[in-house]
Amino acid sequence: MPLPISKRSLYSWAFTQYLRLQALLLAIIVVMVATRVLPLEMQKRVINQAIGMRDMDALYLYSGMYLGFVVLSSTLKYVTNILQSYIGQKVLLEMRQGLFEHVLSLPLAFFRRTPPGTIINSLISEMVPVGEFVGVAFSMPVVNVLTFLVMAGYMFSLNATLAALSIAVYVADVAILPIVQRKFNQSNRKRVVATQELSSLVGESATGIQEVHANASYALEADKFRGRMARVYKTSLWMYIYKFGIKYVDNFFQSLGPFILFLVGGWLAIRGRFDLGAFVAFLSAYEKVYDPWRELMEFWQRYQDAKVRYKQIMTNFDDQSEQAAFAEGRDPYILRGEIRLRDVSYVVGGNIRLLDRINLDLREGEHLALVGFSGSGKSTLALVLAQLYRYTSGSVELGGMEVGELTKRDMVHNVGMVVQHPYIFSGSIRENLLYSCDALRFNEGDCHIPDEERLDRLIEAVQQVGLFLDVLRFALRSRLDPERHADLTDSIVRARMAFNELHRGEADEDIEFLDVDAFQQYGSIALNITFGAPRRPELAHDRLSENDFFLDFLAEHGLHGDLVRLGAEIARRTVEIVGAVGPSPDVFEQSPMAQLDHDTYAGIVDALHGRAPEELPRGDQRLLLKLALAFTPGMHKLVGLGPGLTERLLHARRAFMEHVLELDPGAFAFFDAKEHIDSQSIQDNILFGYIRQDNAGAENRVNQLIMQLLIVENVLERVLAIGLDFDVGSSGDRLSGGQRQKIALARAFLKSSPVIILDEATSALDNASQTRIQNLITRKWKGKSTVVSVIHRLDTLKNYDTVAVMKAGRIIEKGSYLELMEKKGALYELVTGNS
Amino acid sequence: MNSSPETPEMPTCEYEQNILILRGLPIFDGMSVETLKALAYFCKRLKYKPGDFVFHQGDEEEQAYYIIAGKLELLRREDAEGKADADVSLGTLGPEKLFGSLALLSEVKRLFSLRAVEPTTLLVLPRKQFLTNMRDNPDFARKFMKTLTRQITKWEENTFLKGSCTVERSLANVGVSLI
Repeated sequence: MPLPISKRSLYSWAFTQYLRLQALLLAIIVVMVATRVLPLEMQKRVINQAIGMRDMDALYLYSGMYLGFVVLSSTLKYVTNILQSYIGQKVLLEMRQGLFEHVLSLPLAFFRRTPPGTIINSLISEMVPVGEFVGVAFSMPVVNVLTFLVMAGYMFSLNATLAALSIAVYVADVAILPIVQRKFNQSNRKRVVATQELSSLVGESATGIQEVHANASYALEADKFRGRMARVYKTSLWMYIYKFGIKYVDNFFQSLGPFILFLVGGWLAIRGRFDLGAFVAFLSAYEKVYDPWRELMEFWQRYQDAKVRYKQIMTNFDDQSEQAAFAEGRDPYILRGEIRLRDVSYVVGGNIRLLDRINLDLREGEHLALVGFSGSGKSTLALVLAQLYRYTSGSVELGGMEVGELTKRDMVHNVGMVVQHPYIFSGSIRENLLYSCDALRFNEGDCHIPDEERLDRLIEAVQQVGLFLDVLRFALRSRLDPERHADLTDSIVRARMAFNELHRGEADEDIEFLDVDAFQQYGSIALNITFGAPRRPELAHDRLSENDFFLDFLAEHGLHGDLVRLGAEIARRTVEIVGAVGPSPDVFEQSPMAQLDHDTYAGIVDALHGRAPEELPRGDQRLLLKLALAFTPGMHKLVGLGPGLTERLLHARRAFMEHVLELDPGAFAFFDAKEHIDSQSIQDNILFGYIRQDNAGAENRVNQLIMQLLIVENVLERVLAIGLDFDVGSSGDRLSGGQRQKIALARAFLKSSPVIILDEATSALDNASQTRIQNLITRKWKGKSTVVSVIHRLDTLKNYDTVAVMKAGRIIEKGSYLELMEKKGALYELVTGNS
Repeated sequence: MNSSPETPEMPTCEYEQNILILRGLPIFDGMSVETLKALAYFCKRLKYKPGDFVFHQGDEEEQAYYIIAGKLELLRREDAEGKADADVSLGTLGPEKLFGSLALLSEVKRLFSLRAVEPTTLLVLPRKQFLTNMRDNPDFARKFMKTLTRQITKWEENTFLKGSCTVERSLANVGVSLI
């Protein structure tokens, strides 16, 4: 068994998988360092042998070689950098992937004490400098130590005395710098503390502003501020003094080197014991001997930083999963649904017995209900059976195998579970329904649903759990893509005809039909004016505000100013709400403003202070107009339209039709009951109008009618398939609590395992749905799958073979519903409430 | 209607009316105007015909209601031992009443059904945005809890005064305003 990821050392990442790459890197580095010193030698020869001897050939040769070495050296440096980044990024990838998998396998208790933010932070941001450090962990010190040695060696080869003197300066620098650095660090720490104190003071004065005003304690507060500010001022100043001190020391010693060289080297050269070429080469070498030192300092910092971060991350996740994910070399067990518990206890926190010596036998296909007061341990028992909690003593057998020894893979092949608060992942309804099945596929299994039956099975499951109308509603609210669903559009138009014939009278109250002579409350202003679908992209409703043809029309009919003012009011109010609750998607559902455009409009609203909308630049006015044109009175309640404006818009509609027919007859397809309107949803297309959303239950009533028509057209399934693609939003926040629980139940129905564990799986559902689903569970699984169901609503108990009543972690009563009721014991008390 | 002095020509809209309604409710006492506006923004109006149910007993709901106009009847069904008895009327609710405010804090199973007896318009207060406000505005959260606690105390007190619930059912002792 390999070492768990959280126990690995930082440096193991650099070598375990990259030994050969690191060796290659080492070879490249050796060559590179050599190519760094050779140009210095060429420099020397150019001066001594070419210039000194006035030898043109030698000049070309050495200059050419100089160029060659420089090019080679930079190329190798480039290659080294790339290899370092490659290793760094690759390690980052492995660390993240490995850690993510490790974290997911940790027991639930880990997630109770670790907030998701910590996990996200560790995996995403904290990890980056660590990975990047690992990339250079080996090569960076090697390059610099080698470079230093080679440069120093070359200097010694030129002149030992001079080299020794230069290195002495270097050593002095290296000795003094850390002292100043330490001073700098100290003063910086002081400055940080002082700054924090200052901020807390500002915070207090601002929060306690009522008190400040009431006491007119401005001077008092200002005095406190002055005192703390003085410290910030002093510590900051010292920090800068040391900061520039570091630079000063560094610069001084770096310049001291050449001074010694000029003095001593010059003296030697004058005496003829040191040639000019060597002199110049020495100067260059001296400059290069400094860089490795600086880089090593930087490396040390990065090492410390990476070490701390790495340790922090790994300590956070230093835990172990309680079960192996899967067993090598064997297929997952397929077990019979017999369950046998002997003296099962689950003790946490020393001696809190959440479960206390539970004994229980279930035969295959038996249905058991667990009831009891909250805190009785019924949910805990369910989670222990599902291997989500590990019992601390006793034995839990599933199909004759000890649950504690089964792998996670064995479990998912045999057990289906619906948790109390199911989690819905972002994505479509379809993906969420298939979540358990997809997970099973990654565990070398599947739900045995042939591809051609998949849609049918999904729809069946959706119907069983009572999600059918919801999915239909999602479908009807979406728009058809005329390219993908060309044949569907014809059926929709036929359904429209049928709807008109069959239901026109009865549904009138719930629907606002498209009517050329009436203002459409549920249509946008743009739709109300144009009353048609654009035939060209530049005439799309959301681009009309940029269209000169349309703008001229508005101006001509005196609507431009009114609509810009309307847009301004919408912008002002939406921005205000966003200011109060933040830019959540909900805000933008009830305003014509798109979330993306919010910042732009916030700027315009700023500009509107003390200015009329008409005084804004043309571009801003157009943006406001865009809002007004998208405004749909029936949906967006944040502003109102006066009857005067409604009347004028209706008037403009007629004028617009004439205008278009006269000037550009092909521009718009005016609403025609015989054609599909691509810009409208399926529902709006069938109704040739809009559902009045403020009529309670209108949508359900109308959808029932629509469903009949879709069945007649034989397209119901295809429409539902569109609904299954509905995007549930991040963590499913576009679904209600009931819908989420229904999806979780449908997951279990689709998977249909030998053992099914339901932990208050219907608690968020209304009574009717609860009863229906309970009946389904009984019909579908009785005698086939073993069901253990934690139940808080007692009227479904009669469907269960056995009822176990729990109290304080123990089963205090067990038997059939009728037996227990006759016995007038604990269950009787629970049911009748006489406790 | 003084919320937008810059544009006096804008007609009053639902949003502004909602703000006025919420401002008049004691339960929102202590809510800043900004928060109130935000909550009003997310409120929706629904119209019911006589006979329409607003919710059924046992439904889990995430919203409170305010009656703008109309009349509603509270119905409770007792089905001890599986015998589905007929609905018992507990009384009626009329305009300007807020009910179900406990659902603003957490899912609540309705203890009774509610049916419109006249054409009714309700203002629906969603929990989601309310909770956002509570989270972002601890001051308001504290005041709201206080008001709620006071209501619960008052309701318990009433129960004591009237004796056991089974003798005489009146709206005062079923905690309608809460659940």
